[in-house]
Amino acid sequence: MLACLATPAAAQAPAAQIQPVLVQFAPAADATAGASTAERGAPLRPLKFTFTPVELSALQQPAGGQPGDRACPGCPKRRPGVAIVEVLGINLLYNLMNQVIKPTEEKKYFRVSPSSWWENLKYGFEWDDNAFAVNQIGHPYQGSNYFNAGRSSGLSFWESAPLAALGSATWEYFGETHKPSVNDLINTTVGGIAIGEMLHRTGWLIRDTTKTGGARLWSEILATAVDPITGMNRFISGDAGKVSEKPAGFVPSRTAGDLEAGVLWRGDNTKAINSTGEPYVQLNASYGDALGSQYRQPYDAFAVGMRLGGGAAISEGLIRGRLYGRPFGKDKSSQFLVFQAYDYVTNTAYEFGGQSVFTAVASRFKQTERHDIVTIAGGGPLLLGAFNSPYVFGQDRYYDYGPGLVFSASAAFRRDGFPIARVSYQGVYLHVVSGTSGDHVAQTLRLEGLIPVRGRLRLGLAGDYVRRKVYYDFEDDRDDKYPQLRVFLAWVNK
Amino acid sequence: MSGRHRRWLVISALILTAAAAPAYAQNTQAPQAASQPSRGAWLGVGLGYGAFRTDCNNCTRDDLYSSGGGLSVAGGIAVNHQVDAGGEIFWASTAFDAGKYRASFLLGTVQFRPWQNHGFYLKGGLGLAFIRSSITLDGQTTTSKPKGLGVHYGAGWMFGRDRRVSFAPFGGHYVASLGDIPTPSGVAENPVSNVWFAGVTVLIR
Repeated sequence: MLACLATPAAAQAPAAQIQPVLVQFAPAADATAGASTAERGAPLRPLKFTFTPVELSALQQPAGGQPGDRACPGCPKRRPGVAIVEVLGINLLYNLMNQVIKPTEEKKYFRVSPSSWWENLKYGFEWDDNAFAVNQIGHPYQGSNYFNAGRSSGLSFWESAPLAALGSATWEYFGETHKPSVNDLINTTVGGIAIGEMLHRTGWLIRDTTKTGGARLWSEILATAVDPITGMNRFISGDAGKVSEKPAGFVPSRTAGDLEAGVLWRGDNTKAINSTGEPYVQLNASYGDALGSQYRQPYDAFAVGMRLGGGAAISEGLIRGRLYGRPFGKDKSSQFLVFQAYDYVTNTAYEFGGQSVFTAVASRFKQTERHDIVTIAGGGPLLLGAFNSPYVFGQDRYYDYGPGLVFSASAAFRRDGFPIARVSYQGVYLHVVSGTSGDHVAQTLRLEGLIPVRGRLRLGLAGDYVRRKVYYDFEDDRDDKYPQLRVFLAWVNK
Repeated sequence: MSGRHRRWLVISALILTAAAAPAYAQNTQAPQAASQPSRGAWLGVGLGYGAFRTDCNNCTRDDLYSSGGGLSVAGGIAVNHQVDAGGEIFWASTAFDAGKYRASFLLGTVQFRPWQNHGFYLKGGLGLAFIRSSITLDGQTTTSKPKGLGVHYGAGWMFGRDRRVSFAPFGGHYVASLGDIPTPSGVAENPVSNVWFAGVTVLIR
């Protein structure tokens, strides 16, 4: 039937002579076999097809239309029960690992028993006082393992999400003797979904299921390093050795990435910038095209930013995953978007971590053949955020937790798809429910210029101004300002 | 109606509904259910009974448990045959020796059924919590109405889920985190309220 659609000449040929072709970029020689020259008409030209991921996925279904327990030949088998067992197994693994690697005085927190389970069950939830990185990176990463137990067992994004919650809740009650904590439950679940789907799709980018031999093995091993649970399941099930098309849902419409290296100078509560610069390396990557591609499934377009150095070993980690998109307006040049956002920022001046969902409107305004302006603006609920605080909570927690709102707007002026100048504004409102009672309001303004040096190399200059006000209920209010200047070289790839 | 009568009324309703559910399920579970995706809006009303516990960082007693009845009203859409998304309003109240306490939650929720052929489901929610407490200490009664973060998770079993009306016995945990609350005896630091709840929901699709 595809051949029929491919060429009018083929459409005129007897149906029995048309061979079914899965994906064909030029009509098959035998598609018009038997037809006269007159019937064939003009010589056939190679044709190009563009299949959407959904169409490709449908094409990959086995004959007869019954997908069996795989959504496509390259997809994992659908096994919800195995996924649940794996989630509980991951908890067991984390528990045993902690009993081995933790210092002697901390091992007792992982020697669980029915009595510790019952104590936790009847105690209920509290807020814990773990270190910022443990709560804002460690737990979300653990959650990503639960989430990917579902994804690698053939469950969809939304079907895997509750597994992150299940894994988190069972860990809090049964995995350690610490009292269950609310912040862990939310960070592990929501952050685990964001990090999990990002890692799962990155793993599928690396993995090349059409190859065999050493190249295939190494692609599977590298992908396993990125997404261990999926990799483990693929090696156990034998999928790591099977040749098939990559599942269409994991083929992005495009990928792009910028790598920048430079030095930043940051001020702390003064307008002056510290004279000592902090070197850093930053990776900004985008998977799919949130503005230019049609929405198919959650995270078919996402952006990741990670900064190493610049005030901490990992000073910035950001994920923006598209949960929904709908084009509108003239030429469909605008999109209504829903994003899930994960934020982790820690440096010598301030700390912020958050899980949020926001709606946004993105638009592209064409200026000339080579120039355009891309804008995006929106806002939404901050499900749970954390801001550093001068006051301690519990033993050693110097940050406040609470829900709130996020709002942002940005514009990028581009030439040939490469940004030349960017301006962005971001605001966060956080109402403290754990920590020092009050409200945080933080606003960030960023200006960035990229000057072409040679080829894809750019010289960048950026200035940030962060202002945070804290309105405490029982303490003196604070008004902190953090200016920042960055100079960097960037290798850009659209 | 006294607290004791209300408790017996809730328990009786639970027993009757739970007893009716398996028989209903036998009559109504269609064999082709798995192949027919559930679409459209749904509305659920639940009734049940729960245990309460509130604690804070500087509270001197952590063994204060009480119990009481509650009601939930939920609605939303079926994303697909296995996932429902929507919102829920949940109220539960209790009385104990020092006063009265009511917890209300306004939550966004997601329900997931791992197996298409079974009614087992997992549920999670996040939103706002509204607490109203009236506590008498040393003859002085203090009423407070703090608001905060509400978190919920739970599990249940849905009988006759592909029919217009279905039943779901469920258990869940509702957590309210409230921030610091001023009281006559000082500031209660970071109180967290827990409500463990079991009940039955009637769902209409």
